[in-house]
Amino acid sequence: MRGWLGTLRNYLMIYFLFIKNCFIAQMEYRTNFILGIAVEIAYLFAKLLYVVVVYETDLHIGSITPDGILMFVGTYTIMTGLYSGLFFPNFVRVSEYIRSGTLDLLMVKPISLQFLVSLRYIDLGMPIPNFIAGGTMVVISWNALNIPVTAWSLFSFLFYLGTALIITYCLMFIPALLSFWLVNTGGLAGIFYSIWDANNMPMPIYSRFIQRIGVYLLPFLVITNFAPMMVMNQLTPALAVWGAIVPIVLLVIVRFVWSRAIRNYNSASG
Amino acid sequence: MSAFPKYGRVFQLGVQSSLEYRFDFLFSLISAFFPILIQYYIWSAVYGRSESSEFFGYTYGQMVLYTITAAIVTKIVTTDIGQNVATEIKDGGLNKYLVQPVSFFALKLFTMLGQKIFFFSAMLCILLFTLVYLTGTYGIRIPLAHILLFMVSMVMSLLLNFLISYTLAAVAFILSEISYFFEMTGLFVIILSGGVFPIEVFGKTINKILDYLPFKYTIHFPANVINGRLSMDEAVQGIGMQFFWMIALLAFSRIVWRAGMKKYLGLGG
Repeated sequence: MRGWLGTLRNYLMIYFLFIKNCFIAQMEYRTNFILGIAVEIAYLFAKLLYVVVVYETDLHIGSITPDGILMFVGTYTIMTGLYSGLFFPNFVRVSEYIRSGTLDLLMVKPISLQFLVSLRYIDLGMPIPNFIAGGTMVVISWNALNIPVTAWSLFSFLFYLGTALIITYCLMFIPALLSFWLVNTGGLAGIFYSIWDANNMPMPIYSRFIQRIGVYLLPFLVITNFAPMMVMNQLTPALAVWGAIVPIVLLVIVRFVWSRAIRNYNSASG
Repeated sequence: MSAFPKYGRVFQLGVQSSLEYRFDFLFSLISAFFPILIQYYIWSAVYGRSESSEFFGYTYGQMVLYTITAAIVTKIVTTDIGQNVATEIKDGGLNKYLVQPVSFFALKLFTMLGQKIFFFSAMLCILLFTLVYLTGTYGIRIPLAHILLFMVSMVMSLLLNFLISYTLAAVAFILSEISYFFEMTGLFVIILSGGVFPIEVFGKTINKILDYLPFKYTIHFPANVINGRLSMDEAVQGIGMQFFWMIALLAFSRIVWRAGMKKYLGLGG
């Protein structure tokens, strides 16, 4: 147990160093840093159009009012910020590591290769607009829906955001993992981005069939639906449990596929 | 050497490079499908529960047709040419073209056309099949003349979008770190072109402004030609606007590029 805690502490320390290192690197090109934020604002603008359409057309999805939908869009926006800040900068690099043989170099470092490959880079600029806008949307809708602010409601909301983060890591890592076999997975990643966007709307808007797939088979819909559904009292106990199990199952699967992928890796050039 | 075989060869190379990763091509076809699905559900929910049969001036059938066409048109017309050219400016790759007896503009144009031709044809076939199916379902009649006009407007919007991209790429002469710049402008261009939602969503004032800018003529216009919202006159007029903007942007890009070339240092390469 102590050894395990020690390892965890070491990894947290290394992760902190990654953050510091990325921060310094990003501050070097400040224009680019600001442009990165501008890119996210552009994406945000596209998302806000959905909000405009929801309110303009007074869209109700089942029992969810426009204010309720706003909370889903807000959660989706926060999760997009987390994904683009923590994971995206790493996952886009993987196929390049494989193609150019940089992976050989990373392999010899005395820490977990998966950790290094999937968490080395952090973008600190991109999440800023998403956090501000998403957080604001959640707060506004939380108020408008008269959801009591209790320790339990806050905890359960944050808990499902946490599980969502792990699910995001696992699911969005898949195209990068497959690039060990397929080399060029840009198109597949494109599909995953578009599936990701399905979270822009509460899941009851989709047909039952799509919901089943999105919750059980490729659990994308768990990511931004469960946290708002929990505080709106719309999450059945069975689903609540499922939401807590999914991240563990996915982590195990990803770890398994990762080790297969590494065994399959033939050093290219480099 | 006359110009045709030269650029014809570039065109062929473009076609070949687009067929290099066939899986990737298939995937990008599939990824066009998802935004359509999401929007289809949104609009079905919107129109399904409301008494009103029109939102933003579109009937349900027109909106569904718009959504499908806009998504496909967006896929067809977007190019990464701006990004591509800008990288060449930044790390001096432009040098090798400057000493060759070719026009850089024509080179990029024919590469783009070559890369797109296969995708373009495949997408158009899919689109036409969908249209035949949907027009039956929603009882929308599309006259043959509109389909022909649509084809013309699509070719024009592909060229128009290329010109917008190419003009924006000249910014790379001034800014050095530009990868994000193109992502941002690319996205705004898509939003303003009606690639996310029909531009009527923005309200009357912004629409008035957009009427005079080139953007809506790349996605919003072709999509509206085919869903039957535009009369014959309006459609022809729109193609006139496309033509006007093509000439205007061609001239404008010449000016910006000439100015940019004076600043160009040709580092690296």
